[in-house]
Amino acid sequence: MPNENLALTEAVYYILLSLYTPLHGYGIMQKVEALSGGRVRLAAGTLYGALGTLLEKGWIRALPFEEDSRKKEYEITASGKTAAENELKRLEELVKNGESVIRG
Amino acid sequence: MSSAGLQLVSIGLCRYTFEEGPPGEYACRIELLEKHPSSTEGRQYIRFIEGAGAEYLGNIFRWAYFRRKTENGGFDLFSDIDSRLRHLKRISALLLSVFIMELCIGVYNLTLYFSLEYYRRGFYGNLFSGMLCLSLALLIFYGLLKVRKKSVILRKERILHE
Repeated sequence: MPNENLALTEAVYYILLSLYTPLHGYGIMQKVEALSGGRVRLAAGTLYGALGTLLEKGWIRALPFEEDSRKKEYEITASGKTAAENELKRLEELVKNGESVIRG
Repeated sequence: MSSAGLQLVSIGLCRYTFEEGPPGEYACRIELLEKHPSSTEGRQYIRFIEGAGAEYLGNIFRWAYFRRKTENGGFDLFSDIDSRLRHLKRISALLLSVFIMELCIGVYNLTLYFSLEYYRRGFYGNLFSGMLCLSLALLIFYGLLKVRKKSVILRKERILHE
């Protein structure tokens, strides 16, 4: 049984954030790069695999599109937003604990 | 080849077509796809990669060739350890199946040759085929070891990093 409390990968977290507004594959790559200030650059093969997994989990959904279109768009679902919010809480805890130990 | 000013433009079985162009104009990447490029899933994947700014050049069996202009930034098909490991696993499975096939054919041919009466061994077909298949198996085994080594390095890295 999958543990929903496990940390998300950086790629998955950024993909979920980028899909608060519907985007196609290349749009996601650009948005993630912009959100991370150029630090995270998703490669297309990695993104394709991640989108497939997120669709299976129901964290994102594909918007209706024409069969020949290369620009299939995706958006985050309610369960995807919950996963992103849980990850945000986990990251806040990491920062809080890191600051209290490292910076005193 | 691209850095030498030869740009790969199309792929076919035993045929690579190059055109002259500015050195380093394109970055090429090869991927062993999960499904054949002519299948629905394969076509979907290729469309997705093209939609992300790359150009599909062709395929040899499940090996797909892509390229992208270097002026658009670095070009990689995978950006995390997990997807690289999945790709290496696909390559490893392919190499292993070809290795087993070559080994079996090689051993079978050599067994046939040596099972013949000594005076009938003038026919070297089985010996030649057997040696050739075993040599190929050895070469594939070497490739398999290299892929496995790369996988082990990535798995160790994943303990520390994503």
